[in-house]
Amino acid sequence: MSGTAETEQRVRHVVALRRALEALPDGPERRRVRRVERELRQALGVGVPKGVAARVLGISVTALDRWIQKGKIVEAHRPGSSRALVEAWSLVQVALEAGRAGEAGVTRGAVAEGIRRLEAAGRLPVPSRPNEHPLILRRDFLNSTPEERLAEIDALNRQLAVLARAAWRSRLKEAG
Amino acid sequence: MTTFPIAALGDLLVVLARHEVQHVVIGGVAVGMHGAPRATKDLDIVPLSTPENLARLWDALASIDARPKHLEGFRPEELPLPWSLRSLVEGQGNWILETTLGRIDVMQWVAPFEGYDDLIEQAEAVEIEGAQLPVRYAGLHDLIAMKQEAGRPQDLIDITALRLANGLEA
Repeated sequence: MSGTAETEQRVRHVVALRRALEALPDGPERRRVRRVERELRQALGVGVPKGVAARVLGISVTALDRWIQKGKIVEAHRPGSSRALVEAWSLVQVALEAGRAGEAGVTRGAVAEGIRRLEAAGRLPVPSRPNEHPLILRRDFLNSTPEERLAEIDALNRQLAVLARAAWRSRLKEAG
Repeated sequence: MTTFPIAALGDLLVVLARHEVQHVVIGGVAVGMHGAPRATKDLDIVPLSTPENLARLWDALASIDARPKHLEGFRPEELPLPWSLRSLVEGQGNWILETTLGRIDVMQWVAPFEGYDDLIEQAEAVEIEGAQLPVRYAGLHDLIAMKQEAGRPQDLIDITALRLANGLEA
């Protein structure tokens, strides 16, 4: 099996397992299926090729690009590669909901309907970037120990507490 | 009791460690540990759900005057279960608690995991001053899986930040 065929199969398996989980009661079986689903999802990595994503969704790459441009499906890049991928979780979510729409009788535009439903439920993954430069994030991570990172989070929280306390006092003062 | 909305994270972790509470840290603190440090309003933990460990957790929380946070529309006494060791052990629920050291969320169920046993396998550890036990925090991929399930705007930003810091995404 080629790499892309294997990736496509993984995406389809993740989607199928997530559907199966919806019907499984709590218990050891559910726990086992959940574990497999998590492992498959992790194996998918950051993203999948656009051709794979388009096949899973049953649309053309051109149509997929239109959804990406609209910010409804998320793009991702691996380090050192300029090739644009479709973010795996975004794809899984849209494929899941499009599948449900298809089963509910939507024969045309199942992807559009799936995206609409996800948006309505506030569950559509959207492009999100931290406000820190990627190179700075990476450099700081490589140059710090877990102990230093914990100390940094603690210090950030203490600073925030000082500011919040000042704001609190100010509000109390204003309220008389 | 004086409570404050921002958690004194280091102090909370020391209290848990001194009481030998076995737990895995998740949420914003774990995100920071994996390379995207940011301030967070609370400490989120998943405790080992044995009665003995939950009794130690209860003692630790009692020492910092823990009580359920006043949730919108609910007073603590209106919660489905009263705040007690028995509720903690038998309820297997999630508790949002205010303490003298700030907010701590005790999560006994967090999607897509069943609890502590699932998370401890990939958990990492960090030593902290003033405590003999190391602090264990969720593994990178487990954390990303939790953030994917939660799916709030901050979770999506955290996922990208975690991938960038760990060289998984550009």
